[in-house]
Order: sequence, then C-alpha cells, then structure tokens
Amino acid sequence: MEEFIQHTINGLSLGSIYALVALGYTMVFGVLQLINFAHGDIFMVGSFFGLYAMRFFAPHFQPGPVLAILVMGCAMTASAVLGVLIEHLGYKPMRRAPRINILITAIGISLFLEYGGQLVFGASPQFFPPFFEKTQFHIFDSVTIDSNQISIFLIACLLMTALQFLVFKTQFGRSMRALSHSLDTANLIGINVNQVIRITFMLGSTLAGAAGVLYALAYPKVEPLMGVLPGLKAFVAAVLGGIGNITGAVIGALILGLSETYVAGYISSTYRDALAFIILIIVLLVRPSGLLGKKRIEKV
Amino acid sequence: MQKIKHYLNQTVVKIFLLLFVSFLISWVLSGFPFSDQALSQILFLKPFRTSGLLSPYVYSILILLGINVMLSVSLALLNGFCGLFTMGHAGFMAIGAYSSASFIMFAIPSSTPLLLKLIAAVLIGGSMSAIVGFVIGYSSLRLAGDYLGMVTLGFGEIIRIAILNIDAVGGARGMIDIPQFTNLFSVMFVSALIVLIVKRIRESRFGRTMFAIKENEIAAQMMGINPTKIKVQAFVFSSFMAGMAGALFAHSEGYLSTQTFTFVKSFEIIAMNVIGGLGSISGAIVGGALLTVLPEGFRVLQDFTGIDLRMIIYALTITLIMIFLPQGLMGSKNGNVKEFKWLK
Amino acid sequence: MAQMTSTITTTTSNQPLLKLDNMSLYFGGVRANHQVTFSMGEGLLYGLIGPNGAGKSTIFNVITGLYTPTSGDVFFQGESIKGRPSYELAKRGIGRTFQNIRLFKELTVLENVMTSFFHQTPGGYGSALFRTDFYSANEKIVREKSLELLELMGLIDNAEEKAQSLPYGKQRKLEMARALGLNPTLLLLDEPAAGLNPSETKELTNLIAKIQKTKKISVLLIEHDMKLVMEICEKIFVLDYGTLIAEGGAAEIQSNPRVIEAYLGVED
Repeated sequence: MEEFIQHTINGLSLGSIYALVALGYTMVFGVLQLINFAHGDIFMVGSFFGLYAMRFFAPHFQPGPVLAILVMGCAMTASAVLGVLIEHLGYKPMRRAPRINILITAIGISLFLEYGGQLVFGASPQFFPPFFEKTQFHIFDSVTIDSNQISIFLIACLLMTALQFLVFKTQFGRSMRALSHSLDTANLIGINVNQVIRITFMLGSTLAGAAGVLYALAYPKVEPLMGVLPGLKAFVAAVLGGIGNITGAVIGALILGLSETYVAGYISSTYRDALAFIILIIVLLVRPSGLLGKKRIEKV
Repeated sequence: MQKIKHYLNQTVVKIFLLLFVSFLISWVLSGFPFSDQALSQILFLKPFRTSGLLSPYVYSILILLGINVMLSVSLALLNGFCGLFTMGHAGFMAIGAYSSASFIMFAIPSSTPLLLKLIAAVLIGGSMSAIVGFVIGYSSLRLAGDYLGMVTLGFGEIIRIAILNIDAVGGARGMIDIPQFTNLFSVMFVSALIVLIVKRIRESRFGRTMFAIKENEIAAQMMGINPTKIKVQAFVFSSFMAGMAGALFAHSEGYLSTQTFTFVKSFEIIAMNVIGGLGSISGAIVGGALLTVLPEGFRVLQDFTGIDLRMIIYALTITLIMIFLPQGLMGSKNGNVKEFKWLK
Repeated sequence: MAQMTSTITTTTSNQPLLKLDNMSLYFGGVRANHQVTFSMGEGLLYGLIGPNGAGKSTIFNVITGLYTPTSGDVFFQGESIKGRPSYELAKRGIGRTFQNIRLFKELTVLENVMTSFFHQTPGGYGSALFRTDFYSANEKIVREKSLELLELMGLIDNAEEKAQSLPYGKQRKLEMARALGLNPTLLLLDEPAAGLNPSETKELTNLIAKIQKTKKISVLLIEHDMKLVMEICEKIFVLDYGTLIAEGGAAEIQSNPRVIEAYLGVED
C-alpha cells in the first residue's frame, strides 16, 4: 500500500509535466489541426535556457523562490519566442498547404532544433542543479515526497489554472475556441486569425518551456535529444484525452504519468516506453476521439 | 495449361531482362571489368568491393540509395496512391531486417549457396513484414487521415521496442555478425523489381481503384469498390516490399540496431515521397535518391568546416523544399504529377 | 406520359424493385426521415421532390447504405438491405450520383468511368503484375465499354482530360456515365440539373429519359427543376419535414393541397 502511494506521488509529478507539454500539442491541434512535432524540441530548448539562466543567476541568489521564478521566467520567455519564430517562419507560409507537407515541415524543424542543439549546446548531457535545497518529507514510514516534486506539482497546477482562465474566460480564449471550429468562419467574423494562432503557439511553447525546466528538476540531465520521448508521450497523452480538448490533455497526461510509474514499479521498466504506444494504439482503435473528444460525423 | 505456360514464358523473359539490365549497370559501375573472375564476381553475387571507378564509399552509398528507393517507392503505394498517411514504415523495414538476419544466421547452414541465401533473405524478410502489415492494416483501417498516421506511428514504435526486448537478436546491444552478402547487383535488381511492380499496379485497375479511394472514398464505394479490402491489399504489398528492403539492408550493413528504425526513419521515408511529389513513382525514386545523397554531400562541408553540419542542413533543406516547393520535385502546380518516360 | 401513371400506381411485377417500409432516420434528436413508406417498380422513372431540408438526400444515403435507418426497413429486389455496406449494394445494381459532385478529380474522364467496372472484371493482382493476355483482353473490354458510355453522354472528346478540368455541366454527366458503368437496375440521380442553364437542362432531360428507356432501368431523381420533373417522371414522391406527404402522377401532385402548402407555406 505504501509502495502504491509512493508510485502515485511519482506518477502525478511526472504526469503534471506531461500535462504541460500535452497542452501545447492539443492547443495547436485545436486551432490548426496540426501535430506540431517540434513541440518536444521546444521543451528541450526550454530546459537548456533554464540551465543557462540557472548558471547566470545562481552566484547572485540563494536557492529559493526568487531563483525559481527567474529561471522559469527565462526558460518560458525563450521558449515562447522560439515557438512564435517557428510558427512565423515555418508554418505561416504553409497555411493552405496539404496537411502532410506541414507535418514534414514540422519534422524538419524538429530535426533542425535537435541537431542545431547538438551544435550549440553540445551533445553530451549536462547536470541541472535544483532551485531549492532538496529536502525530503516523510509522509508515512517509507513514503517520501521531495521538494522538487512539490514544486513541480504546484507550478504545473498554477500554470494550468492560468491557462484555463485564459481560454475560457477571456476574449482571446473565445477567439481561439472559435478558430478551433472553423478557421475560415473565424476569419469572416473578423477574428485576427494569424494573431490568435501566434498567441496559441506562444502559450503552448511557454508551457513547454516551463515543463522543460520541471523535467530537468526531476531528471537532472539535459541534452539536445531529451525532448523526443517526452514529446511523443505528451502527444500520446493529448490523443488519449481527446486531441484538441484542453481538459482532456491534462487528464490524459495524468493517466499516462501514473500508468507509466505503475508499470515501471510493478512490472518492468523496459516496458515503460512501450506503454505509451500501446495506450496510443488502443485509444485510437477503440475510441479515436479520445476520452473527452467529440465524435465527428462525416456529412455525405 | 496453355495459359500458365504463357504466363511462365512472359515472366521468365521479364526476369531475365531485369537481371540483364542490372548486370549491365553493375558492370558499368564497377569499371568495365573483363576478366572472367571479375565478371563472375558480379554475376554470382559475391560481395565485391572493387577498386577502379567505384570507391568502397561510393559503392556503399549506391547500395543505400537502392534500399532507400525501395522504401520510398513501396511507401508511395500507400501514401501516394491510396492516400493512406502512415508513419510506421520503419517498423516494416525492421521486421524484414531482423527476420531475415535471424533466418540466415540461425535457421539455415552457413554453407548454403549465396544465391539461395539471398533469395531466402529477401523472401523471408518480405513475407514476415507482409504478415505484420496485414495485421496492422486490417486493424487500423477504420481510421483515416492523421489518426491513421498516429496509430501506425504507435505500431512502428512498438515493433521497435518489442525487438529491443528480444535477447536472441541482440536486444539493446544490437545484432552483430550478420552475413554480408548484399551487393550492388542484388540491390539494383530488387529495386528495379519493386519499381516494376508498383508501376504495374498503378497502371492496372487496382491502381485506378486506389486513386479513386484516395480522391473520394464514398464515391468509390458507390462504384462497388470495397475500400478496406483494397487498402489492406496495398498495406500487404507495401510492407512486403519494405521488408525486402529491410532484408537487403541487414545483409549489407552486417549490423542491426533498433536505433536505426525509430519513427525518425519513417519520417525520412515519408519525406522522400513528399519531396519527390506524392503520387508519382518517379518522385519517390528522385526523393529516395536525393535524401540519400544529400546528407552525404554535406560531408564535404563537414571536412571543410570541421563541425557536423550535415543533419542541420539536411533538416533545413527538407523544410525549405516543403515551404517553397510544396508539390514536390516531380509535381506541378496544378496537382499533376510528372513521370519519367520509361515509367509511363 | 402523365396519364400512364394511374395504371402503374401499384407495381406491375409481383415484387417491387425497391421498397422503403416505415423507414425512419434520426441523428441524435434530429429527425431526418420519419416513417417513410414507398415502393418503386422496375423500368420506370420516378421523381423525389420536396423543399430544402425535407430529407431527400438522406433517403438516397439510406438506399445506398451510407446511413443505416434508425427504424423500419429497406428492401431491394425483395431482400432487406438494411445495414449492408454501400459497395455491396453498388455491386447489386444501385448506382447513384451526388448533389455535390464527387468525381475522382485526378483521374482522367475515361479512368473515372473505368473504375465502375472494377468488380465486374475478373483477374487478380497476378494477372495485372505479369500483364497477361487475359488481363489485357479484359482491360480492353472495359475501355471499350467505358468509351461507349462516354459517347452516350457526349463526353467522348474529353476522354483523356482530367476530370477536374471539365466544365460543371460535363462533370454532372460524367457522374452519370460512371454510375451507368455499374450496369445498374436502379439509378439514383441527386439534382442532376443543378447549376445547368435551361438549354443544358433540356438536353439532360432528354438524355435521362432516353437512357432510362434504352437501358430499361429504374430511375429515381431528386430535382428542384419542377419542369424537368413533371415532364419526364412517371410518378412523383413528395417529402416534407422528413415524411412522405404525397405520391402520384404529375397532374395529381400539382393539384395536391398538401404539396402546395409545403411549397408555398400556409397562410393563417
């Protein structure tokens, strides 16, 4: 039982990181019907910028909330800029192109970031120091929760609440949701489509950047290819929840994070990576619209 | 009886024609050797790493090029003809590679003649892959568009992770000491065969039907066409050919690692198709050739600058081609595709 | 022609070609068709009319198996076809055209027609790959038959063009040619004259009547052009709000108060 609780704690912390990345996938898919495969690499760039910010600020600040805010802020800003750049240079010229072309562009950008990252940041993994002195709290005898997990969980919740507010309570959120119904109609009723898309990319990338730093806190090894697998898994989480659906992405991510830690804990860690893909296949074959997605009826 | 005899005659003539052409090209590429020994080396499938015109480096690039053309053309059947967007082609290649390598290493005596081994390798690789292709195709064809892409991506990765967990084929260490008997001649022959098969399908009523399904599945149903059946058939053909390519790949490298068969490889094959021009066999060939030569071409640049810019430029090139030439190299603005004369 | 209909109100053969029996179709709570019952005999030309949104096209989609009725049943040649896949019904001889044209745009005009012979052609992949005489002979037959159909529809000069490059009126004709390739016993035409000018409509009207006579097939057509419908249809079904409100010959329909009400609205 205590083991189970421990796995649950670990799973929730992993799941909340996935959730932040999955939100970016799902929002971009919502407005553009595009699987932004470069998203995992924005996540990677986020953690590198977090690392550099950490190195820059660490001598001047004590580990604590101020340092955390500075590092997160830098990583999120850098990721947001990168996301907007990618959208502007890569996807905007292709608004009317066939979907498969846009997808290949996404893959091209993803490869470019990965190998460019190897050139700029170096290919070997680098250590990511924690914001806080890592302290462990004992809940029961053998169940522990450390400060990193708590901060991951808190920051993720904060960001997701902010996003929820933005999407469901503001004018921008309304425009964004209008776009996800129909790009053309949104354009006709006077929504600045390009601006909404740009902000959507910005938001998604900001969250990915934050997730990058949080992931680096949990697994303190930063390298240019680190975004590939978490990116794919977050994508699976988005599909599981119903791609295009914001609440679904969070639920899907939590389910994926939990089931991954359970599988690694109770069965074998070699099947951990396979699990995400098995979930992907089962969801798509049984219920392609995901847990919360709406079924689409084709009109004849 | 008369008919069967006729088929056989025709088939034999065609196979000989293919063999002859591949032989001729191999002969030219290996620098016009005239000695009996050199000629028999080409013909009897002994791996030849000749000097002369072909440095071992160029030779290996040509083999890789042939394999990539096979993969690209086989995917064209799904992607370009039927409009089935699949992202798991590397999985089929992996199955072909690993099954043929295991068969050659564990199931038959090493004294088997090379020609037999080669044929066995290609057929085993192709068939195993086709079986898996059938299963995947059959179970996932309810889905369309992006969803099909996602589910095939999942299947491709699961195949890879499954192989990674089989110790008999090396697991994470990779499979080593695979007999290397793929030579330029066999690669050329099989790739010519694949191009021929896909061309014949394209021109037949099956090809017309595939295009019909791609353009408008509902209207195709109204023509009495069962789309699922045709799509599954396309899946089987395509995976068979990808499996053959995988088998030749395994016996040319001599070493297999699951890292080769990640979804990035699948994307690469899709990129070959799209860069060449979707729906065009010529495009698939050009795309396959280009994406083999491109990264190698940048090696020169690497020697010059001292840093590995290859993959970066490669990624940029793909992106730029997509932005500025969305219809691909062999496609024109109005959506038509061009074909080489000899393919028509 | 209109006078003939009275004698054919009950079908001449003992078994109707097509029969809708209390067919209802709902999408969630939305009612598309409600308890529609009608039957069609062999070798006749029927019209299906009604205001926009009356559920005409959904009836076509039910007959061709794209939608499965929520309740009730559909019989074709005496057999229930409820829930059968579309391609199977097409093979059995139900051909159709679409209101929003659905051609295979990238194929040539000739290839478009040739697709409809797919299931009628013997031989598998083997014969196609080895390009046997058997295969070539069949391919030749299909080509000739398709060219005949193009000739009939007046599209022979466009045979090698891409379908998408055809003018609108010819695209509609190509859809008909393609459906005829199936050798159908029942042909469903969804607004064949939509978007055509009066002279094109006239030509098409004659063509439909001619094809129906020479090929001895049953035709059911949805059309908003009342002149066309009244001129060639031997019997007309009228739909409103998803239910059948009238059926009969042209004269009967024109004087039916419920039909007038449905089209003109009723004044309080």
